[in-house]
Amino acid sequence: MRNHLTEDQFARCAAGQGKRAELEHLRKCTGCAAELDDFKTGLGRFRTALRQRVDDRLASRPLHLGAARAPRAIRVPLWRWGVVFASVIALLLPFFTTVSKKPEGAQPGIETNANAIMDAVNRHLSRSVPAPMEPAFSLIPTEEFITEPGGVQ
Amino acid sequence: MNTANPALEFEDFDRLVEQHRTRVFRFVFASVHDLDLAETITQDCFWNAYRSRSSFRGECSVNTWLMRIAINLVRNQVRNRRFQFWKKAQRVDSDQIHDWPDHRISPEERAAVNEQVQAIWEATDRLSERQRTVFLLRFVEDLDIHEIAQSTGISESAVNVHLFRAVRSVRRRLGRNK
Repeated sequence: MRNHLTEDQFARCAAGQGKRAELEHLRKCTGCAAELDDFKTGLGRFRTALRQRVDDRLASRPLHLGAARAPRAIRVPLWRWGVVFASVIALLLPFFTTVSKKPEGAQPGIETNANAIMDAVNRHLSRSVPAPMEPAFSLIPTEEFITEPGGVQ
Repeated sequence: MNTANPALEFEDFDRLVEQHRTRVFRFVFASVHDLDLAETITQDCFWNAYRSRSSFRGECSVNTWLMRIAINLVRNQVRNRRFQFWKKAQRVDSDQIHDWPDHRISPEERAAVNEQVQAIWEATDRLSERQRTVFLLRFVEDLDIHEIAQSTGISESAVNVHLFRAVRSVRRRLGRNK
């Protein structure tokens, strides 16, 4: 044992777990004993003050623990709901505007029925005054013309 | 307090709350340094205990079990607070305890005692979460090492390591304040 307790030895003694040699030293060394006593007194005062503070608080404002049985509502600040709502609106707004807006130059429905197509072609060819540089098969759908052999070809 | 039927402990829940609320509230307040927050956490502690009362098997005392719930709630709170840096910035000075109740001593002595108590209060605030928990359970709640190990879920040797470090740290800070 050196002249005084090390930090570890002091901590052990303060926690009430001093070894025999350390306790022996405390009996002989008034400096270490006084320091340990001072530290323990401080802790005791701390405990007393803390208990007093809590007792004062409980006396002035008792805990309402009856409410502890009821499920606690999730407390979300109102402004957060506002942010969420605005974000959802901002995300959905473009979708609704594009869906509701009809294309300006919408083409009429393209005929797929063979007889109807032939009627349309006949009407087109039998016009009295065809427009100059007009494509001959403008009424025939391009995809059908390419992919379906045996159609209007 | 191991009973044959652990569920009996919760038969009269109001009485159980009455018995343990001060202790739980005190520990939580000493951990978070905020009376309002401590009140909320204490409420949560008893609510959680009531909800999970069926899981209590009587392997430890109700007090130890409640302390374990409180420790977990405090830990969650501390972790949440770590990420809420803006709340840290807004945080006003935490609740104080520097009002020594003994009025028989002189004003000078009282001031010295208040200073000492306040220094320990601030020193505990600077300990790591685990060191603070062990320190408070030992020196404020007077639990022994075995009970602290049960409450915190760590081994007794680990409890000792944290306790000694906490004592060293508090002592150093007290030395600085002298």
